[in-house]
Amino acid sequence: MRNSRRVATLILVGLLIMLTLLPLAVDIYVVYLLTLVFINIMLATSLRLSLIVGQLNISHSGFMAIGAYTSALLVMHLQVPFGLGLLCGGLLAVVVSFVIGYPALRLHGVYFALVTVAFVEVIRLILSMWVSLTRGLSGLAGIPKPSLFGVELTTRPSQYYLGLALVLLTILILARLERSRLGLVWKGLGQADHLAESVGVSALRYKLLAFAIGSFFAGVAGGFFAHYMRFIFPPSFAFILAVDILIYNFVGGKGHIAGPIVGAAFLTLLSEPFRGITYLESIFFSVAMMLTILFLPGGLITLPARLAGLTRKARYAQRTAPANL
Amino acid sequence: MRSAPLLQTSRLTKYFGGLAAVSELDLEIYPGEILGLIGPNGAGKTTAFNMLSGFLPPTRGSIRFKGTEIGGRKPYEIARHGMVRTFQLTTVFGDMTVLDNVLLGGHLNADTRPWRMLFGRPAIPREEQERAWKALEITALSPFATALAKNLPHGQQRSLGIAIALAASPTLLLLDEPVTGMTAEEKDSVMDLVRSIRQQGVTVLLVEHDMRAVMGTCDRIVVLNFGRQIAAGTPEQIRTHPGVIEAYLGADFKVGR
Repeated sequence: MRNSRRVATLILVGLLIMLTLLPLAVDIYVVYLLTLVFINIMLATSLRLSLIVGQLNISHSGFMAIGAYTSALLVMHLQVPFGLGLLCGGLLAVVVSFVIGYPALRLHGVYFALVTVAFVEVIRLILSMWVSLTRGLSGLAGIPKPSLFGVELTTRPSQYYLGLALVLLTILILARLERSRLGLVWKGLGQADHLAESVGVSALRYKLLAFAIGSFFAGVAGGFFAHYMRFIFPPSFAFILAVDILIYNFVGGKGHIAGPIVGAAFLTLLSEPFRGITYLESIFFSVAMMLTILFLPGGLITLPARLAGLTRKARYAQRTAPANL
Repeated sequence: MRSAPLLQTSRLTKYFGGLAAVSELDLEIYPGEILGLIGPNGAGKTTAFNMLSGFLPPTRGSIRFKGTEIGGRKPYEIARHGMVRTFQLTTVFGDMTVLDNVLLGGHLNADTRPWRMLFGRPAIPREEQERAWKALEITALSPFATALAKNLPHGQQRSLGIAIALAASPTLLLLDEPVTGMTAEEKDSVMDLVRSIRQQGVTVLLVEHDMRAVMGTCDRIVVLNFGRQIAAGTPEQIRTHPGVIEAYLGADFKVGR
């Protein structure tokens, strides 16, 4: 046990060093792509909170849109600093999540999922119709690049490092929450909500908290996305994106926070050739989802253990290994 | 012995459509006793149980617990008043360790102020850990603390269900058919557990099918049939009550074994 933990730490440290040095060694296109991976990881890990409490949430792209438009509009029209814009985007997503979640979180399973789908559509319609504010389907162009302490981050590598910092911060906070007593309550609600209520847990309160915190990070990710891409329009935040974020979680694995990280990275990189070609992208994601359900129900994170199990079995069959392995 | 009742229902009634599942139930539970609630299938035991624990709102009538009206309150509010129930089916949080199950059971004793939960140290304080271990000891589950709850055998899962409820430090513990599907030895050990829980000052309401368990453990028994109370008294009185024998036990039931 202790040994596997040490191995995990070593892999993590190695990965971090690699990610830090990477922009020096690779093509700018890879840097660009990895930054998108960071955004998707933020979205996937924060959606995980809803999945932990047992709510099928398909509205993450809606909260991402709220963060993106809020931050972009504040920075463009009111000259708000980028960091503050990002924060405001996240906070507005929290406010909206309370308004939606308070009634909707009383619903279970597919009923809650339907409300979240409707919500994404409503957000998309508002963004499309409120032309005077959002410029509708023409979208917002020329969004200022991200900046830190008044210094604009003009190069892709500098934006990459900002993305890396944001995603690490997100993962650290979410992983810590999951390990805390709050995480214990969340898991309890996801596994048997009536049992949790019977020992004094207010289900609505804690589900709302999970929903709001998840939405906050979706809003922040959306804000960063807006300033990174510098152009947003309603289709950027379509319903299908919310589904993709869910699929990151399922394909990566629901059992551990590493799941959505691995899932988002794996699928974003692998689907890159199809990006923009909507139907191919959808096919790719559906196939990935089905393959996972069929062959790796625990997700990609269970793959190493699966492989180890298989080789052990094979060796055992060959009787080349001692029986006490 | 007759102090003020801990729990008192008056004219408690529940209709499902036109059917009275429970009608005009007057129930009193006194501090420190083990009260059995029995009756044939469909007698309204579970409905009554769900109303007491807040999982079903009553159609009419009142439920007073420690002098406070709690009828129609939410389950988590009722738990805060000190009345905690167990379940027949899902008794545990399957994908958590046994210890985490009980730690979550102690939710009411934990510091759950929002800023503490968001920004405090993630480690669970020592007093809470100790309380959890105590609940595990009473239920003889300490050796399995690190096992996943879903991997425990049925009997121990039921005990864990009781341990979770105990961790909430209830004044009144409501047990929903705790020995269903158990072997004779398991039943005996659960009934010993119920008695030792009472020893620690917890009042117990036991809804149960198993006659031997009820007769051997309860101080008083209330019998329901068709949603109405048809008898109440000591096990001895219930055993010989003609109405009970006719309605519930059947004419040829051999009592006492």
